[in-house]
Amino acid sequence: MYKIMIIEDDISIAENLKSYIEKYNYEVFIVKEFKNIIDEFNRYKPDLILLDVNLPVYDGFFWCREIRNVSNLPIIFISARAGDLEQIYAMDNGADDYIVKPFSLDIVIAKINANIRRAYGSYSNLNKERILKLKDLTLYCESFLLRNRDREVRLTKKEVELLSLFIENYPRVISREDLLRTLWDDEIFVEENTLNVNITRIRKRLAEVDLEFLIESVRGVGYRLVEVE
Amino acid sequence: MKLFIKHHISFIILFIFVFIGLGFIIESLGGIENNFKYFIFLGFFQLLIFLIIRYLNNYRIYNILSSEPKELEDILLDNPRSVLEEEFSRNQRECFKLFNNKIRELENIQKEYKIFIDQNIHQMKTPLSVISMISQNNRENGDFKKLLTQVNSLDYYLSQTLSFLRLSDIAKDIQIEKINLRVLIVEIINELRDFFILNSIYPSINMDESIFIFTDRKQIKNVIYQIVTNGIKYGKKNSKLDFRVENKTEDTVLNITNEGIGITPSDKDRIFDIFYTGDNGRIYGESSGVGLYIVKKTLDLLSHNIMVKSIPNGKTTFSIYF
Repeated sequence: MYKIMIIEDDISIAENLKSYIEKYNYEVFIVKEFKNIIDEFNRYKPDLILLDVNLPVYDGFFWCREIRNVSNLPIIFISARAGDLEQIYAMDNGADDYIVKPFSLDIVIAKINANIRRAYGSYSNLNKERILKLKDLTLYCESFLLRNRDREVRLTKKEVELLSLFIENYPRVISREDLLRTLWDDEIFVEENTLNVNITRIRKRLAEVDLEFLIESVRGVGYRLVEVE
Repeated sequence: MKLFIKHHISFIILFIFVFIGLGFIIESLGGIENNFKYFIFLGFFQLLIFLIIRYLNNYRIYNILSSEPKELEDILLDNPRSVLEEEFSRNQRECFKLFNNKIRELENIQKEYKIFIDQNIHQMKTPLSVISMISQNNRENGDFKKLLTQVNSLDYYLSQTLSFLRLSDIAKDIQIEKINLRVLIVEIINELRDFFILNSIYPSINMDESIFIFTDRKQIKNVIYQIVTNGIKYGKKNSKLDFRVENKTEDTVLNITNEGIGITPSDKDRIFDIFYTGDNGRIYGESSGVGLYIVKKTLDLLSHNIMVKSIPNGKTTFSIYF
């Protein structure tokens, strides 16, 4: 498991980041002693650092330079300052990336993953395949497979993403917005009927392997997975 | 009193010359009866010499007094020649100093305000991040989802305040570079993903992948971001927000079109005025009348033009000419 060190004096931010990042199979350590971060660094030996700019005693730029003297690990700055100057200054002091507060947690995770991947190579051995189960239904998120007892069907990436949302939140209703957010791609944006098309597709896939579950639409709210009586 | 005497000493000399000196001269030439015309001539001649000298000594004061100053420095008089000019110059310099001190004082107060607001906004972003994170962590709960929307709009207003504060400093750090327009727009759209989805507006890009513009990246991003935000805010549900590039003779024109409430013709000319909210602002609240003002100011500094075409309850297009 890769280890991440959070250097941030606002304890709420640090704690929230920690609990979110831990969900993604990282070990997280929050620095509590800001006088000698290098000692903490040597003791904990992290693989990646999230570093705030405004810190007690010395600022983040200072610690970034200090850490750079002893290690090459990825350092991601987190700051409320969105100015070009600060970002350039951070990079000049040895940072690898810069995230502006308030940030989207999805982006924090994406940047952590990208930096880990760049620094330590593929992370395929790190992420064991995510497998979701609901009664006899099994979804293999990385090999794009949906299995029900002995019947099996291959899915697309989008279908896996949608279906995992339904299974994880079973039996809650998933809102239209959440479904669309999942379908949204950085290059191909969603359109009016994107959701309908995808829901129809999943219904078909489900029908191919299993008849015990189906996707029901809830008027004005979204969709949910229900068990057939 | 002293200045008055100094200033009028030449009058006194003239007076003595004309009435006493001239009197003696005429007398010695054979009395006023025989030389009356000569007397008049000499009198006028002396007056003329007097006026010329006086004019040459003081004309700059008259120039300054009768012209309209354009800069504060215009009221100053350098190298004074006469007593009056010296005094005038000294006095103006004192006024100038007073004005300058007052201006500097006000500038300092304004600077302090700016620093204070700037710092406090950055301070606010930390608790805002905490609220945002807690909400993101609890997205499946409807209340937190609503909270997240509010946090995002709070963040939008804070950022807008920062851009407004920096408006006067933009000119100092403009950096022109070559920018791929499509990449920039995709970036903006992705940042506004949740806002698009929440309002059921769908982006559509119709432009070449190899269109480049020369401008300041950060500033133009702010401008487009603002226009897109407006496009979503005032768009009709399930409509498209269309990005299209037109190549006119010399300019690359970016057209951002939405379908929604539109802008009435009476509002159209004033939407870029500061604090002007127009009919839409009155009907929909939520408008501060600052966004488009920032857009126009920024585009002016970057020397890009902007045009608006709108049909009320129909399509509205903002066109930026690069």
